[in-house]
Formats: sequence, C-alpha cells, structure tokens
Amino acid sequence: MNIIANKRILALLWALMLICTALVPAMAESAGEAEVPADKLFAAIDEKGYAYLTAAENTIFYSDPALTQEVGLLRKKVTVTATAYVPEGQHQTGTAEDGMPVYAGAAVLVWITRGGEPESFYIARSAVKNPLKENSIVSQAEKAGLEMMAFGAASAYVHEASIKPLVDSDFVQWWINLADDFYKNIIEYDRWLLLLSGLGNTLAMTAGALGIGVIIGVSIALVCTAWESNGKKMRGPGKHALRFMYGFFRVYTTVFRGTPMMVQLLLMTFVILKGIPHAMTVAIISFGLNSGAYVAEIFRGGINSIDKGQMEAGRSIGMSYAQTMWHIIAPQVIKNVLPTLCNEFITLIKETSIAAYAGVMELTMAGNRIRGQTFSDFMPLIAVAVIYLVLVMILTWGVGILERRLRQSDAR
Amino acid sequence: MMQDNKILTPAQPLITVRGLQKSFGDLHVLRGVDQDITPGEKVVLLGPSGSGKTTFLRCLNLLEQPTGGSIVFEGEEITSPKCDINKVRQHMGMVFQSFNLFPHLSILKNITLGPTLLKGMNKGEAEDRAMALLRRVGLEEKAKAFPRQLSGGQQQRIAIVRALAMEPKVMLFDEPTSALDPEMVGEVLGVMTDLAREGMTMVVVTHEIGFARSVADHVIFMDGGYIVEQGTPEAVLDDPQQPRTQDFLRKVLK
Repeated sequence: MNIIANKRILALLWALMLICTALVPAMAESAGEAEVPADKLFAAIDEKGYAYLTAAENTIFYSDPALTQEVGLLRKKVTVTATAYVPEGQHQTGTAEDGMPVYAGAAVLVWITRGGEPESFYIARSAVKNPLKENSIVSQAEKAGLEMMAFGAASAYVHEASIKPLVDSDFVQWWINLADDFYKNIIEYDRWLLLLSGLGNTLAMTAGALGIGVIIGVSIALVCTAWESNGKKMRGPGKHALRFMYGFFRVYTTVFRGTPMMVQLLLMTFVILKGIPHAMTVAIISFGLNSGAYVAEIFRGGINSIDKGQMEAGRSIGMSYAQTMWHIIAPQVIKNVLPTLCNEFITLIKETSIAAYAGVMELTMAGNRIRGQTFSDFMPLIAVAVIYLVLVMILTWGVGILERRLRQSDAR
Repeated sequence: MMQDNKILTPAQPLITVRGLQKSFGDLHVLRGVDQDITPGEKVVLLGPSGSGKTTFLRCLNLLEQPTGGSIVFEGEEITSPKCDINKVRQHMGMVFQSFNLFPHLSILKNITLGPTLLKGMNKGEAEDRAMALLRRVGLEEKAKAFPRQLSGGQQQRIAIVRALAMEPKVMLFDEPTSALDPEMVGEVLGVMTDLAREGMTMVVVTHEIGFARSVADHVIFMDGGYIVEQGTPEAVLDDPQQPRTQDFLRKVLK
C-alpha cells in the first residue's frame, strides 16, 4: 500500500513537472510579448565598418544597454548568422545553431550598445573576455565572445528568435532549459515516434511473454498440485505420466529460477534458438519461459493455500477433481494470487528492457538511441523512466479494480 | 414410531460395510469394521477422538480411500476401481465440521452449483428448489448473501441444504456442531432432527449425546479402530456393557 501511495505522489510530481514544462514558457511568452519593443532592429555593418541597427524581419534587438544583461534566455531554436567583420573591410558570414548563438547574440549586443564602432568591437570582446564578475550574462557571453572571434564576427541577426526579458530567476531558467531539452529530445525530428515504437515492442513482448508464462505456469501448478495431493492414490499409466511431468517441471522451475534472465536471453538468442531470425520472437519465448517458472510457483502456492475442505466439499457433492478445480478452487486461487501475479507482471515489463541485448528495439533501447542522437542524458532517460512508471501504474490500477470486484464475496 | 418404520422397511441394506480397514502409514485407524445401514436408518457414531469414527464416515463416500475391506452402496461395490465414485457421491450428501461453503459463491450459487453442473438441471428450476430448501431451514432471505456474512449456525444449515439439493439417499454428518458456538448448536440439530423425521437415512458422527438419544435408531461406539459396542440408543447410552463405553459416557455426560 505504501509503495502504491509513493508511486501516486511521484506521479503527481511528474504530472506537475510536465504541466509546468508546458506552462512556464507559455507564461513567459505572454509576459514577455508586452515588453518587446515594436521595432525589430537589424544589426548590420556599413561600408565603413560601423554597426547600425535597423528594422528587419524576425530580428529583435534591444538598444537599451540595461536589457542586454537579460538577453540570453532564448527559448526557441535559434539560428544566428554572424557576418564576419574584419577591420580591413572584408565581410564573411557564418551560421551557428543551438546554444552557442545565444551567447553570440549577447556579445554582439554588448558590442552594439557600446557604439558599434570597429574599435569598440574589441572593447566588447575584451568586455566578454574580462566580464564584470557579478554579471552572469556577460560571463556567459565570454564563451560567446570566443565563438565570435572564431567567426571573426562583426554583425549578427537572429532568425526566429525571441529575445525576451524574463524574470531573472534560476528557477524559471531551469524550467525553460527543461522545455528546451524536452523539445530537442522528444519533439524535434519526431523523436517521440522512436519512443512510441519502442513502447510498442515493450508491450508486445510483455503481453506475449505474459501469455506464455501464465499458460506454462498454470499447467505446471496444476500438474504439481495434482501429483502432490493424490499422486500416490493413482493407479496405472496415468500415474507414471504424472510423475514424469512432475519431475520435468521441477527441473524446469529450478533451472529457470536459478539462472539470470540475461544469461537465459543470450543463450536463447545466440545458441538455442539461433535458427529463429526474428529477435522479438526469441525474446518473447525467453521471457515467457522464464516467467512461466515464477508464475508456476505463484499458482502452486495459491492452490495450496486453499483449505482442503473446499476440495472435499466439491468432491462430496459428486464433482470431479477437474470440476472442483475449475468451479471451486480456481476462482479463489485467482483472487489470492492476483497481487503477487501483478508484481510478477510489473517485474516482467521492466525486465523486457534487457531485450536490447538481443537486438530488440524496445523502450529503453529507444531512449538510448535518442541519447546517442542528441548527446543529452537527462531527458531521454527520464522520459523512458516516466513511460515505464505510467505503464506500471496503469497496470496496478487495473488490477486494483479487478481485485475489488473479485473481493465482493469478502464483504461482511 | 421410528422403530416401527424400521421394521416395515425391507431389510435390504443401503450401505454394506465389510472388513473395512484404513491405515495412514503405520497408523491403523480402522481395523476391520462391519456395518449395515438400512434405508431410513439413523446411525450415530460415538467415540473418543482418534477412535476412527470420522475416518469410518469419510470412507463411506471414499473421501478416504480404504486400505482394506469393501463398501457396497445400493448393490454397487464402491471400493472397486471400476466404480465411478463421482456418480456415487451424488447420492451421498456430506456435511463437514467446518461447513466448507464455497466463499466465492453466493448462498444460492452454493446450493445450485451441484444440481446444475451434475444433474443437468436448468438454472431456474435449481433456484426454485434451492429457495424451497432455504425456506425449510428458515434462511430464504440469505439467498443473495455470501457465506462469510453468515453466522456459523447459518452456514452449517446452508451446508446441509447444499447437500440436500443433490437429493441424496444418505446424509453423512461429520461432527456438524463441533465448530459452532454453543448457542448455535440447537438450530443445526433442529434441522437435522427435522430431516430425520422426514425419513432421511443419516450417519452422524457427533458428541451430542442428547441428539443421539432422541434421533438415532442405532448407536455405534467406536474405539481404537473397532466397533466396541452398538445397539439401540437406550441400550448403548443408558446401559452400556463395555467398560470403555461406560468410561467414555461418564466423561462426556459429566
């Protein structure tokens, strides 16, 4: 119960965080818009090498030096094209994307607001190289200044940029960075599709393995309890068949519960089922066989936990062993084992993550792939974790409902 | 009156037990029991714990597999491997010490499961008959309840109804009142007494000497896996001949 409660709190936190991720930038946007000057200024260099500001499409600069300190909180994807200015008169153009241009913009602004003269570029450059320590934006701009030097930039304009004065707060900045991160790792280039297909494979594997596991597990449990309860009373060939199956299943559960899932998966993929080319199929079989061993123990315990009187009562009416099992024992067993079974399924969902080693593109693997594309760690891994968590919570919730329905006979 | 009934019924026994033995490993619980039970007869089994009386009762419908001897029910040897014991059990109702109602089924379902599943009775008919039986034991308003919502006495009455719903030819009672609170013993014995009056053949393992005296045609005292003494209630309960019977009754009646 505690665990479930904790999960709920976690879920709430996550929901809150996701909502904030969406809301904060939106709020910032609406708050910022009012303060953006109507003039969109285009920074350029004239023939003499002097910088000037002009109105241009998609270009927003502040001429007010006070605002330059707050520049740098760029939310959207930003492209900065810096036209290189060399004092001798040559113009060169370079484009930079992501993060870096933010600082480039800042450095250009420092320069522009100091007069835009060729000489003052060097002043600006030295300003970003020796920033006022208390000014965080300028110190960020220091890196930008290095970039600027790399481009030999003298002017810049910003496409699709919204340089907006925002609340000067680390908290807000953190959220905005998170939103950026989210965009980059999930939205951009439809990376979420990768996660979705990974999720699909994870679910397919879990469902398949679960089906196999329950079928195997219930069969084993039925055979084992039948042998243990009345194997000795049996006569004829049925007795030998049952004894053989009992022995086989004991070995089976011992082996599959006694070796790591990872080893089983690799053995199946590269040795035993090498002939099956479809990695998913092999993974489903592996997880199913493994799960079957655990499910068997769960059901065996469940059947043994039912009072012997139930079987006797069923038999005394004239029901056969199988009829009593089906109508009397099974419904009670299912109710009893459901929570444990739920735990097994939760374990299974998470355990399928190792299928990546067998070459299955499942959810964890998808997240990892995104990591490789964006060089981000936080967002892809957190996204994967959240998806697993939500899956598990949905399952827990569903089983809870089922349990409550099955428990109606416990009402007093 | 009952004695008259017994005399009027033909002497063809319903159940014939010959040389019945049962051992659990080295433990011999039954060491050769012979007994005839005629239709309509009410047999009460008495004896100290471990005397074999419950095992004897459970052997009658093969809940315990005898290790020796034979049991013949309506001319069919049920101890033979060829016998379909499930068919036979349909005619032998059993009531357990711990009720053993099916906790996941409503009272009505508890009663109708056997007839619908085994006798092919349709649901409506089975339910009508179940309601009639419930009315007889005064529990018709509990039809929709679940076993755990009922008191022990009510549960045991339902257990009797569940067995009766199969229209058995004999009812086996295994200490039906031993797990009950004292104030509930009466209601269960009442139902059993009514059943006896209606002419049901009954084999009852109990410690209720009063019930044995008022209902039984035949009282059997068992000890150590043997029948020590048997006869009419008057003979066995009021004038026991065997020292072990005397000793037991002295302890029970005290």
